[in-house]
This record gives sequence, structure tokens and C-alpha cells, in this order.
Amino acid sequence: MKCIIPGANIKVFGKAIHSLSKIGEELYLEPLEHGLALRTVNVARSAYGCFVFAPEFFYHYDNSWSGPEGEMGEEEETFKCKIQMKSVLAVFRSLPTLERTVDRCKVTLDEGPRLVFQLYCKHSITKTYNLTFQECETLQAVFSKDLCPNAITAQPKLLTEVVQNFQVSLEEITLIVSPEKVILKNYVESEPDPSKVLHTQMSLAAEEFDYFQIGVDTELTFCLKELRAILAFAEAAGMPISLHFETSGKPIVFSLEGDPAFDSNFVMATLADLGSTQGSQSSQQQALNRPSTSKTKRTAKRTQQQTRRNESGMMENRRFQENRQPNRSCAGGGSFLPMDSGFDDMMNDGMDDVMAMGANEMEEALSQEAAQQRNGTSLHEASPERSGSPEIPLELGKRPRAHYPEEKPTSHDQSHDDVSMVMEEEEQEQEDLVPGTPPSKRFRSMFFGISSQSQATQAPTDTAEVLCEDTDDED
Amino acid sequence: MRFRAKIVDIACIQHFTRVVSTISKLCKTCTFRLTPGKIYFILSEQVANGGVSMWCELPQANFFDQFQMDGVSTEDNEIYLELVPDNMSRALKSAQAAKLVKIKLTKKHAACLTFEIELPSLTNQSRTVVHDVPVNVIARRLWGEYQEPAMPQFDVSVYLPPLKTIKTVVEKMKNLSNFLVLSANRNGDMTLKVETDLASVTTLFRDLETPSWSREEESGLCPSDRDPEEMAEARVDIRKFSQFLVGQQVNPDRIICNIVDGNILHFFVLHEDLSLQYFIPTVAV
Repeated sequence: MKCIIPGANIKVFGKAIHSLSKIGEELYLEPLEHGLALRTVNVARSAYGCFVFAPEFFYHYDNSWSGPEGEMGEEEETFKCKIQMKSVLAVFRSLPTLERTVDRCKVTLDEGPRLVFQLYCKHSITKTYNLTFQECETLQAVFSKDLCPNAITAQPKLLTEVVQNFQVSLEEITLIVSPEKVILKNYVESEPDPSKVLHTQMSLAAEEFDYFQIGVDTELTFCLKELRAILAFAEAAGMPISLHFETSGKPIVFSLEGDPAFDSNFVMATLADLGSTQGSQSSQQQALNRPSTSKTKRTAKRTQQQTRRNESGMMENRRFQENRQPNRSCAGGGSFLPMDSGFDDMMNDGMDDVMAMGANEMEEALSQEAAQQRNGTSLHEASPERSGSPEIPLELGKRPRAHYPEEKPTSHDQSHDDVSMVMEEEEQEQEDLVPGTPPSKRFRSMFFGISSQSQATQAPTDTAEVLCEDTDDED
Repeated sequence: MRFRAKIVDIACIQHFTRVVSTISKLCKTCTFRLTPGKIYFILSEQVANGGVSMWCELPQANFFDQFQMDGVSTEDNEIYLELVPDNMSRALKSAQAAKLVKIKLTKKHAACLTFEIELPSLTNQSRTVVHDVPVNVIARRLWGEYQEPAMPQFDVSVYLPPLKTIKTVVEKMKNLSNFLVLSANRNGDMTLKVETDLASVTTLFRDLETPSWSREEESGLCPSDRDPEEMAEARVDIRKFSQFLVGQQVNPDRIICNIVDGNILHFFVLHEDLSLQYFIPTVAV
């Protein structure tokens, strides 16, 4: 892969990296045919950011891979890697300076173990940065903006001014929309005492927005820090921000469109409120899990996973790749596909109540599979391996449950589309589960939700399986 | 109990914001007292917590375009609230370009001082920001704890040198020691001193002006027979002193420093539309 960024575009590229650096600690780089993708996900997996720079953005763009063939899977068309955000940030640290002095920037990822950034500056000075990278799977959040009933477009200045009214230390913000207006308020956790905390609320008339379409009144809570990162870029780029969202618990998508040279999307998990979400969540999750994989695939994956577990990351990658394909197909949903093992930690932490449902749209696809899934469920219960299946997040939370004779978890997973039928069961299950699960912290749940999303969407099978297995092993 | 007030003038909004910001830098929680003519910010710390106290009063007419209140009763037409001034300061940060700020006492999830701020927008309708600052209402029987501290019978009174100068000096001294000895005499000499095992650092200011307290002298509040060369000194927690200096956001005209030898430091911040007193007790060696 080789591309050359013209001096005039260095600033935008650098700003993109700056904004991603405020979200995640690793930068995922993937040269695609239609452009260079830069992606990241935060540690909690509740926020994902992606920029795709089109070939027009560059002087020269060549995404072909000319490195060692051996490492490439046959199915892989492109080579993907991730690098430490800190190291890329070092290249683009001072944007004003870069803008003044750099004529062009060449990025190469070819033979050799390094990703190379070369800054060709004035006076024939060339600065070369050799960054180590790690091969990895595609990081991809699965989401669809088109199906969201709610869409708002705003100038970045408006949102920046809104955000300024909130404390810097505030973690989450709640967005309440109705056809006439938008209300933002600080999300107040139940601890410490909410009556001792400053409450802030701001309302904006619909007319303040460039585009305002609210199909469903709703209330969403999401992270403010990541929103600030997005706004910082949007304001620098002077591009309006579009928000696409549905209801609480489903992801919200921020996108910047309108520049043919690049586009960017940020997906954030939203906090699902316990009361309303549980039933639907579980169903959704199932849906997520279901999406692409057939039973057989799952089993295959499972085995893979196990092997992988025992072995090394390489295995993981493999596995992922295989799974990948199916997953991608299910891109309608709204969940993340982070593939790393980092996941596992999260999952272990708190699967208690998986709150956020990533994949809204997934359900349709899922429904089709639901029947299959059902079958799968039975399988699930039967074999411990099964647990490895996509639903893992739920299961983890519920693990205690596993001891119960009737394994609801399976029903969970499968029930997804059959929700109507299964709902009752699920609810019961959940209740059952509750005692076993650690007290759910609402905040956490958000992340879980995300992770669950990611699992579900991502590799309906893969990630989830991994998690499950881990836990099983430990047990 | 009812209270509602409104500020329209942006200069007043900003000035009030600076006052609140000053207060928020001086204390974590304070008492906010409302009377029909004035508002007060009061701090009276327990001796165990350092014993610092603060008294700040503002005539409400200097700030508010509208000010209505009904106190606890017609005889005691006052309201005492306990609040975190930092919350108030944060709320007012939204108001730096506001068209209007309304402050009122409300009962929401808890007793609150609600700040309703109208901001200009791109459309006809204003943007509104609402901040609910939680407060505790202080019962009538406890009001006695928040009376204005009596003016101490000081030994020496001088005007502090320019804030910026003294602030720099104290900030540096803060790195050396936790305690500072401030001494001054009636001739207008003042020294700031810190001591450590290895070093003793003294900064001397000369020819400071001294306020005239002729009326107090007559009433015996300030004995006039003291030797003008004799230094009065107070050893105080340097952080408290530095906090006081750094916290000043209102550009006071002058600051008077009164010393009761070996007992207390008393600062009197003079400003055309507010007065602020700050007391730092001395700490024994």
C-alpha cells in the first residue's frame, strides 16, 4: 500500500487522527479499493470512529499489497493493521507546523515490518517515521443510517456551543428529541445522590437545525467525551454533522458528509434504560447473534475458537477472517465488529445486563434465521461449546443461570426474532438471571451493551464464542 | 419562602459571575443569604477545619434588574441557603453571552436554586439553558451561626501591595513551606517570610500606604499608642493565603490587611459594589 497526501490535505488528515486519538488507543488502518480507512474504537467499545479517505484525497493512492505473501490469508484482499495511536499522533503532533512546512506526506505499508510515514518538508528535509504495527482484523461497526427514523443535521458550531454548557468532567449526555425541539441534559447517575448534583438542561428549537426529522420521540444517553472529539473535527473542517438514531439502547451515528474526498462516521452506544430495554434487548441481541451464521458455521467457529484459545493470536485472526465474511454480510445492524481479544476483558467484566442493542435493522435478517437459531439453541444447551456462540455476552451475565435446568440463554439467543413468542420466557429468564449477576451498574451496562453489540453484530459467532469459552475454561 | 431575580445587563451578569467565581475559589460550600436589600456569601469554618471565615455582601440593586423575595416570615424576611458556589459558578459560565438570566428558588428533585439562562440563537426562539443548583435550606434556629464577624481589634493595618506582585511572591514561597509569617508595622513596612531547615526567605515591602482609621481610634477599636516601628506578625497556612490571593477575580480597588498580633489576619477587599472580608487564623509554631 502506498499513498501520498498532498500538503493541502495534511491538516485534514492530521485532524482526523487527532479526533480518533481522543476516542481510541489504537488506530486501525485498512487500505480499501475506495479509499484508505482509519478506524478506532474506545477501550469500553462504546464508541467507534471511522474515516475513509477517497483516492481523490491523495496525489497517489495504491492499495495493492506487495509485502510478504505468506502472511496473507487467501481470502484477504487487503492487508490490515493496527498501530498505537500514540505513535501516529507523534507524526501529526503539531498541525500548524505541518501545514506550513510539509509539502507532501507519503504513507507506505509494504515490504518490511514497518508502516512508514515520510514527511517531505521545505528545504528538502524529509522526516521519516517508521511505526511498528500489528496485523489485525477489520474493525468495523455495523450500522445503517438509512433505516433510522430520526435524523438531525446541525452545524458544528451549534453543537459545540451546546456542549460548552456542560461540565468538562461530565461523562454522558442525554439527548431528548421531539418533533418541535431537542433537549440535552447531563446524565446523572444514581450515585452520588442525584439531589446533590448540578443538573443542567438545554433546549433548542427545531429551526436551529439544518435538517430535522423526528419519527420517534426518544431519549438517548451517550458519551460526551467522544462527542467532543467528533465536534472538534467537524468544527475544524467546517462540516455539518448528521445524527442518525432510533431509540435508547440503539446506537447513534454521527456522520460528516459532503466532502467527496472523505467521509466519516462515528457510532456510539447509547445507554438503554433497564425497564424498557430488557425484553427487546435480548431479542435484539439474539438477532444480532443470528444474523449471518448458520448453525454449522457456528460450530465450526467454536471449534476454531477453542483451538485459538489454546494457541495464539494468529489463530484468532484466522478464525476471525473466516467468520468475517458472514459477518460482513450482516452489515445492516448497528453493532461493532471489533475483533480483538481485548474484548474478552470487557465481556467478563460486566455482561450482567446487556443494555445497548446495536443492531436495529438486524432483526429482519435475523428473523429469517430465527428458525435456524432456535434449532441452534437446543444445541447450545446441549454442548458446553455452544455457549461459545454469539450470545455469549448474555450468557456471561447469566452464567450462574447455566446451572438452572432450563437454559434460557439459548432461548434468548434464538428467540430474537420470534420475540413475540419468546418474550415472556426471556423476561422470566432475565429475572432469574438477575440474582446471579453482579449488580448491574447502569453506566457499565452501556458499555456492555456495546460490547454485546459488537459481539453480536460482528461475528455473531466469533467474539461471543470466545468469551464464553474463556469463562468456561476458567470454571 | 420565595425568591426570584433577574439580570438583563450583560455587564452585570459578567460581574456577578466574577463575584461567584471568586467565592467558589475561596470555599467549597458556603451559605448564601438573601435579604430584601442585599445578598451575602458567608463562610464560617470550624476551627478544626482551619477556622477560615469569609463575609461577602453585595447590594442586590447593583446587580439585579428584578429582585423579589419572601423570607421565612414577615419578621425574619430572610433566606439562608447552603450551596456549593462552584456549582453556581458553573451555571453562570453558560451566561457569558446571555440575553437574560433568571434565578429562582425551586423545588425540583430537591430544593434548588434554578438558573434559567436565555442565549441568543439563530432563530426567533432563544436557546434556554437551565441549571439546577442543589441547595439546603438552613433552618431559622441556626441563623445565629452566620452573623457578621466583628471587626477585630487589630494592631496594624496596611494596604497590601499590588495583588499581582504579592501573588507571585507567595506562589514561590508556597513551594518552600506550608506556613508563612506576615508581619507589618504602622510605618507601612511589610514582610513575608517562610522558613525551612535550610533556608529562610523574606520579602520586604516598604512604604505601603496605611488606611486611616481615625473613627475607630476614637472608639478605642484600634489603640493609637502603638510604636509605629513595632511589627505585628501572624503565622498562617500559606495555602489559605495563596487561595485568597489567587481567587480574586473582581479586580478590587484595594485590599486592606489587618493584623492582630499572633492571632488573626483580616483582609478587607474594597470594591465599589461589593465588600469582602476574609479571616485567616494564625497557626502556632
